[in-house]
Amino acid sequence: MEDFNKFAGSIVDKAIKAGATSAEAYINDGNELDIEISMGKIQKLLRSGSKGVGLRIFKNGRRAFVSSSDLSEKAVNSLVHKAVIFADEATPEEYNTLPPEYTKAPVEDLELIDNSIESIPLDRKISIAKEMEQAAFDFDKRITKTRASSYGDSRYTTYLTNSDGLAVSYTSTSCYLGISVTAEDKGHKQSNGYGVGKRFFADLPENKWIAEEASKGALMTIGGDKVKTQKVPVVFDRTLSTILLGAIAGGINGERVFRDQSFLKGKLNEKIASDLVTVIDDGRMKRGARSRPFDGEGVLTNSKPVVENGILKTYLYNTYSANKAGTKSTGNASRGSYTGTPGIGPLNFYMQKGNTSKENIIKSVKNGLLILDFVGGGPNTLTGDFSAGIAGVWIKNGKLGQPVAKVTVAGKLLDMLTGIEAVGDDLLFEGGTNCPTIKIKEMTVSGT
Amino acid sequence: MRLFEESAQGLTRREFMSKSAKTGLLIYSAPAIAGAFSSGCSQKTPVNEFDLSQENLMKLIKTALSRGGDFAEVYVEHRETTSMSLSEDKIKSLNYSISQGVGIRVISGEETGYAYTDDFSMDELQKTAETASAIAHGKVKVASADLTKLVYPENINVITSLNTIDEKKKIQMMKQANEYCRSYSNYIKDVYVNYSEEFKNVFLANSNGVYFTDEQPLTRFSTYVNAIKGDVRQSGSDSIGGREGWEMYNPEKIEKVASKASKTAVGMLDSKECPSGEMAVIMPNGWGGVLLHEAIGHGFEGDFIRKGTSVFSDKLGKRVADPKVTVVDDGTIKNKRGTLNADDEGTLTQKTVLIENGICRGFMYDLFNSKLSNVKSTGNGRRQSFRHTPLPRMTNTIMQGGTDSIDDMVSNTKYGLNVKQLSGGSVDITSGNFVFNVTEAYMVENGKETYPVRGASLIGKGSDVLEKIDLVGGDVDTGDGSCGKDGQSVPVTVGQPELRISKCTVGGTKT
Repeated sequence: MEDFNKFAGSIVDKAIKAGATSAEAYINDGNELDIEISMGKIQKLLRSGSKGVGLRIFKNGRRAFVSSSDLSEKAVNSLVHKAVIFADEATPEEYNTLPPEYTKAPVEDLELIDNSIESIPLDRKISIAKEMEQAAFDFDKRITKTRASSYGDSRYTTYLTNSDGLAVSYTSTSCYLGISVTAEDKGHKQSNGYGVGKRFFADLPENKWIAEEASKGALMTIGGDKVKTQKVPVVFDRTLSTILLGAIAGGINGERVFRDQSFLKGKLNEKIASDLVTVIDDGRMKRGARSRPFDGEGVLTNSKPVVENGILKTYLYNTYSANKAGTKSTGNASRGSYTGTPGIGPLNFYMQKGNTSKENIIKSVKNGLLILDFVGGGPNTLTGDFSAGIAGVWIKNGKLGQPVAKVTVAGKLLDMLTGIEAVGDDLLFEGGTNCPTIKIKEMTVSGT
Repeated sequence: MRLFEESAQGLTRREFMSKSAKTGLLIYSAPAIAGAFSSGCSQKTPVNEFDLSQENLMKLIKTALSRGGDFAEVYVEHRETTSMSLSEDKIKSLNYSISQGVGIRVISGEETGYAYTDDFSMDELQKTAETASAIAHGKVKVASADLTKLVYPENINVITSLNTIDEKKKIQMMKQANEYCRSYSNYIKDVYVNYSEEFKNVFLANSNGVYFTDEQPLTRFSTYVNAIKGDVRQSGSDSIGGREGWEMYNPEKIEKVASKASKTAVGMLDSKECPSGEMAVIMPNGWGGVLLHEAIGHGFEGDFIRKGTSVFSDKLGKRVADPKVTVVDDGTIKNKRGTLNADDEGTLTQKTVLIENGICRGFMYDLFNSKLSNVKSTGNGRRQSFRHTPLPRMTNTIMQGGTDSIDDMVSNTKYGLNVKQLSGGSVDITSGNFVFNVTEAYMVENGKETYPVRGASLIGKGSDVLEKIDLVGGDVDTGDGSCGKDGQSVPVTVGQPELRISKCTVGGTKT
C-alpha cells in the first residue's frame, strides 16, 4: 500500500496549515486471524485487515483529537477541519505539548516480528486449535464441553509522525493460544480458561499443555462451597497473581498520583511491599508482549525497576502528566489503538521470581486459602482497598483440601503488599503482565 | 477499571486470558474510560456515500455462498462519535471519530466464516466475501432470496437530533454539572464530567432475503466525583442517557446526575468497614438491576444454553426464583440505551419473558443459536461493530414491579445491608456464581439505618439469590450500562423495582 510514513506527514502538515500549533498523526495498519473451535466445529474463522489514523492537535495550548478508519482525502480533510474547530472549544493548558525531546532510537532489534507466521498454512492453525480441544477431553472424562478453543495471530505496523520532525514506525506480530473448558461432576459445573500470547509462533507452549492447565483448574475448583468468615493466609496462584501488579500499575499512574487519586501518593522511596518484592517495567525485552521501540507519543521506551526490594522507585508518566508534575516522561504513554489518545500504561510489567517452589508455599500454610480464580471485584487504587469474589481450594496443614467458592477475600492493598511472605519461582511470561505464585500473610475471607 | 482493551497489536485485543466463562457489566464509566466511550450524532452522512445497491449486496451474498453454506450476511456500518471531557474545571478535550466498514459472514452447518474490511470498493468487498466463503466446503446449497426491506415499529423517536445542537450548549451543560458538584461540599476534590453522542448508520442484507436499514443515535452524560476527608478517599458516579435527542437533557436531570454522584462520594467518607457474612440485603431500583443482569441475564443467553455450559441450560419450565419474580428482556422500550428496532442481524426486537412468577420461561437467541436449537431468534443477536460477529446479548433486562411497600423493607429488616449504589459486577455463567461491587450502602439494624459502610461486595449463586427475594416493591426504574462478553461491548440497561433478598453473602473487610 502507500507509504504511511509520508501519509502521516501529510496529515500533520494539513493540520498545521489549518491552524494547529502542533500536531501528531498516529496510524495503525495491519491484519488479524481469529480461529475459534467448539466441539470440533469452527465456531468462528475471522480474517481481516484494518487501518486507521488518530490525529492529535494542539492549538495554543488547547487540545482536540480525531480519528478515522476512512483514510480517503475527503475524510482526512473533514477530520482536520473538525479537529481545529473542536480545539477552539477546549480550555488551554500549558501541559498540552508534544514530547519536549527525542533520543535517537538505538538500533537494537527487539525481535518483534515473526515472519514465519504468514506462511504457516491455515489448516495447520485450525488443527492446533482442534487438537487442543481434544486434548482437554482426553485429559479427563469430566471435561465435557468447551466454550472455545482458540488460535489467533496478527501483524500490525504503527506509524507516528509529529510536527516537531519525529517520524518513526515499527512492525510487530503476535499470536495466541487459549481455551475455556467446562467440567461436570456430580451435578456441579465449573469452567476455567487458560491462554498465552507471544510474539513468535515457536514460543507458544504446547497446545496439549494449555488444555491440561485449563482442565486442571476447572477440576480443582468444581463444586466449591462457602467457608466460614475468618482471617487467614492466602496464596495467589501465578495464573492470577498479576491482579496485584495491576494494583501497583494503577497506583503509580502519574496523572492519578498528581491528582491525589492513588493509594501510592507520597510514597516514593518508601516501603510499599515486603523485601521479597521487586517489580520491573521493561519496554525493551526481546520478544516481550508489550515491547516497543518508542511509546505512544514517540518517546523512547526503557527498562526500570518500579519496586525494588519493597521500595517504590518511580511513578509512570506520559508527557502531559510529566509536565504537570514537573518531571520527565518515563516512556509510558500508552495507546490501545489509533482511536485513543495516549494514556499512561506499563510496558512488560513483572515481579521478579523468588526462590520458593509453589509446593513449598502451599506446604507452609497451616490453615488458609489457595485462590485459583477471581469472579468480580479487585483492587480499588483510589481507596486502597481490595475486595474480590473467588474460587479456590482450602489448604489445611500444608495440603490441598476441599474446593471453595461463593466467598470474597478482602484487605488493604498496602497490607497485602507488605504482607507478601513468599514469592514463587514459577514466573512465566504469558502476556504483558506476569507474576509468580505469591503468599500473603493475612486477608479476610468472607463466607458464612 | 477498564473492561475492554483493544490493542492494535492483537496480543491483548481479545482479552483471551479469561479464567472462566466470565462476562461483566460496568455501570459507570470511570474517567479513564470516558474518552473511549463516545457516542455522538453528527451531520447525517448522505446514505449513498457508502450505500451499496441492493444489486451489489446480492452479488456479495452470492460470492459468499459460492462454496456452499446455509446463510450469508453483509453488514455495513458507518459510525460517528463525538465526546467531550471536563475535569479540573477545564474542558480538557473534544474528540471525534469515524468508523466505517463492512463485515461479511457465512454460516455452514455449525461453522462460521467472517471477514471485514474498511474499503468500500466492489473489488475489495468481493475479496472479503471470498475470504468468508472459505468456511464452506460443499456445493452451492442455497440460492439467496430476493431482498425485502424490513418494516419495523419505531422504538426510537428523536425530536431534536443532537447533531443540530452546537458544542457550546453541551459544554455549558457540562459546566453546570461541574458547578453543582463543586458546590455540594468542601470535601469534593475532583470532578469529572463527560458527554458523548454517537450516530450509527447500519444496513444489512442476508440470504434469507432480509434487508434492514436504520439510524441509531446514542448519548450519555456522566459524572464522577472524588471526595477526601483526612486519609479517606471515596468516589461516586452517576449517568443518564439513551437513544435520545437534545430534548432528553434538562437542568433538573443535570443537577440530579451531579448531586447523586456527590452524595455517594461524600456520604461514604464517614463509612466504616463493612461486616462480612450472610444477611438481608435491600437492593435499590434502577441500578440494582445489575443483580438480574449477572444472576440470570448472561446465563439465559442462547449460546450458553445451547452448549449446555450455563447453569440454567436444563431449567426451561422449572422453578428458578421466588414466585414474586418476573423478568423480561425487552428490546422495544422507547428510546432506552439497550433498545433497537431490529437487532444487528435484522431480526425485529421483542419483549422476551425470561422468568414468569419464578418459572424459567424463555431464553435469548440470535440467528445461529436459535436455528441449531430449533427455535426462533428473539432479536437478541448483537455485535459491537462490523468487525465483530453477532452473539446472543441482552437489551433492556428488567424485573417487573410487585406490590410490597418500600417503607416496610428497612423497618422489617432486623440485620442487613441497604444498598444504594453499585458499580458493576461479573458472573461465571457455568457455576452461576456472581459478584456485585457496592459503592454506597448503609447497615440496617433492628429496622433502622445505622451507619454507612464501604468496600462491600455481594456474592452468591444467581438462582439461590433469586429464590430468596422476599419483598418486591412497585417502583421500577432502569440504569444504563455497558455489557462485556467475549471482548465485545454493547450498550444495555438493567432495571428493577426496589427489592429485598432475605439472605445473601456480603463480603466486607471487617471480621
